[in-house]
Amino acid sequence: MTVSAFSSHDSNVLSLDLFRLRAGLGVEELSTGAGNTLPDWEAAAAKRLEALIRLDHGWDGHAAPPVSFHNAHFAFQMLQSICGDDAPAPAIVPGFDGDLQVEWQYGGVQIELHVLAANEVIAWRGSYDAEDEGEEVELENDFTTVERWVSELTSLFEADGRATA
Amino acid sequence: MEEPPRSPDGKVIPHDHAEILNDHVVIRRISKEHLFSAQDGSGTRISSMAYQASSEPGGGMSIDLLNLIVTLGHDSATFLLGGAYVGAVRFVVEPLRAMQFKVGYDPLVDNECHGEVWGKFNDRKKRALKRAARWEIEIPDVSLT
Repeated sequence: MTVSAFSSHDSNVLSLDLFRLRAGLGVEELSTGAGNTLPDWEAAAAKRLEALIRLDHGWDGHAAPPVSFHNAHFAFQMLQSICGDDAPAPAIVPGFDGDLQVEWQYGGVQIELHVLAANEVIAWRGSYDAEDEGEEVELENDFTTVERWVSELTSLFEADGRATA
Repeated sequence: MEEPPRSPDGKVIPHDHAEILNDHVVIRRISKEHLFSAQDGSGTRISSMAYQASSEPGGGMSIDLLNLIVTLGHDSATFLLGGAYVGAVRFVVEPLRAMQFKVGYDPLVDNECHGEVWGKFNDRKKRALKRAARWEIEIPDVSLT
């Protein structure tokens, strides 16, 4: 199976509005809405991405811009492509150039997805406690590798009884 | 400190400053935006994204020169924290130069202890920097990795 994030030319208005709607609603409204089936991670990611695109210019004490909307939108679509419903909510942190990084750290294993731009992601899985460098791959459209990484991490998450969905 | 080399428009040119010795220590301030909670409940961590160059053309990773902070009589905690910053990590200069980075002096109007680490920053190097970082001003309940 090939897991693809959307390319820039097919990022349609519906997806854009959906991201804005989810981000704008806030976690509380999303999680209490009647019939809502939104995974926990999705609401948390939307809320965090919304905060990152609203960072002040110079949030780093120098001249860093906020995360760009295009990168945030792409990251959200990427997460929808690679995360199952029970995936743990990723951490998302800003870069200094409008870029961002999606991260999980679970049981000594770290996954970092550095979104440099839409369809330009450097993905790494490894451990900061280990001597070896881990696995690094550059991704454009095919996110099958990281879908597998997140699936394996989600299995650990579920085995530990942490998943709520 | 001797003035750094500058371009005709006054910008500091990436350089290895002769007065920044290999056994000197440089400080990288940490923004709260680069802290995250590990999903396994093991606590709060510093993201590797804290160890990147700035977005400015020719920009490096901002640092402060510990020797200069001490020489000028600043209290390091007062000098380094506040505003966007909640903690600070330290690097010894020699390993940075071994990673093909240049470590130079880049005084600012509001920070005469400011320097830069210049070079090719990529994801492999940002992880190497994360591994090499040690606390200068520890953030309570936060782990370096």
